[in-house]
Amino acid sequence: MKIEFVLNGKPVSAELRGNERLMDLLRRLGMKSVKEACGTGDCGSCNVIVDGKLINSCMMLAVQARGKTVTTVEGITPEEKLHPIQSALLEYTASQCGFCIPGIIMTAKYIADNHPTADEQTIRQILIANICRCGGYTKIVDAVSAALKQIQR
Amino acid sequence: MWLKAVPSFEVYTPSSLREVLSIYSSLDGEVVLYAGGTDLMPFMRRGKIRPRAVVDLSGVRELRYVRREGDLIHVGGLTTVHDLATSPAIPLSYFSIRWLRKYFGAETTRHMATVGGNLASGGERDIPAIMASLDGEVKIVGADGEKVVGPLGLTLSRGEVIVEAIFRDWGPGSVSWFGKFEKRASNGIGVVTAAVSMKAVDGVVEKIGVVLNRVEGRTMGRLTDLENALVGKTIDPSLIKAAVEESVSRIRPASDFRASSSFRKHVSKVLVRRGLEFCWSYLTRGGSVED
Repeated sequence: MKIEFVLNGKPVSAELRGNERLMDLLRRLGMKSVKEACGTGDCGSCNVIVDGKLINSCMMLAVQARGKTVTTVEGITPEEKLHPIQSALLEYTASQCGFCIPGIIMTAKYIADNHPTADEQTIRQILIANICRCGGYTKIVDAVSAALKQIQR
Repeated sequence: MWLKAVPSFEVYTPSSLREVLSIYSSLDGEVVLYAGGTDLMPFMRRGKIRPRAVVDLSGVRELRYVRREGDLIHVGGLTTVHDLATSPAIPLSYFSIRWLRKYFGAETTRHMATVGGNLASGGERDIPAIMASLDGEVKIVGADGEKVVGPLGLTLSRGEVIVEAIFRDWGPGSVSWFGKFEKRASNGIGVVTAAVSMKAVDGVVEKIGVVLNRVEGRTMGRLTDLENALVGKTIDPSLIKAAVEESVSRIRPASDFRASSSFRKHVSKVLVRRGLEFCWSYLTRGGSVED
């Protein structure tokens, strides 16, 4: 089966098997920021944005992305530079092992797009979508708060 | 828990309800409808379901709506939980629905999970409880036409699709509440969940709906004895406490690895009492509510 969709701003068409998940397709297309951890929608490591909505790409079938717009970390990172969310995560040393970070960047991007003036409580309520097994939540929340302020400026 | 690979299946991509029904009738064997996938994918990964044919419902846009007709509110089966919770068609005092944003999974889950999927999964889910407390109903369509059933313990026969959930705005002086006790914030199935809807006119309870996730065993149900004890009365905290003690003492919730029966019973009393107190105080004192 063949589908067409927009991946990180570029139209793509892809052959896929019916049982492929969006995560599988994205990784096959080179979007290695998309990480599989729990595989059942609990941890947020595979979070991507589809038509403006934050979703778990481990639970969406690839075929469900047909005609949609999909954004991964690769799509928000400017060439040779970092997105303000990425810079803030670095500045606050919020990344330890780093495996959860792409998912957290996408959740933070969703917060920046939809709740640009979010306070700490709102950030924490939405970041519940992500598990960091290193337990670095405080620094992650601080970094996302700082990034939102930076983006607002 | 070891996860298995996603099983191999054929996927079908209808773009209308009619197409869904005709795909169903053209296939033999197990057919699974894929809406948000938030239950189905984990089920497949754990080997509980091995479908040979999957019908992806994401293209059936006609079943994504929340609309008001008179005092009836219709919620299309493929409406996401996020779209339901944030819909302007939901009365402002129906916190049970608007608070889905807080207690139903994470933002990701709410963007994927659908109203129909939550109803179809049966068991101790949030939307069946809320709909039952509001006297809501569910419209199902199949090869033999349409039928309307209650939201509790709903099971779909082969070939049936949930079209919509329907509930009435109880009008001025009504409020709806939902509470959940669980171990990991909102991202899990509640140990105890309770839905309470109430209408009061001139300081007297006119109508009430109370639902608990485990009334008998694992079965969700309404506490009609409690409802009957409070209708027609001007209630106060001590009456609420006594009525809840009397009624909720009779439930027999099943124990499991998450909580014992006696613990569930205790928490059930606390949640139902809180719900009733919230509703009564909201309706009689018009107190402000933190949203």
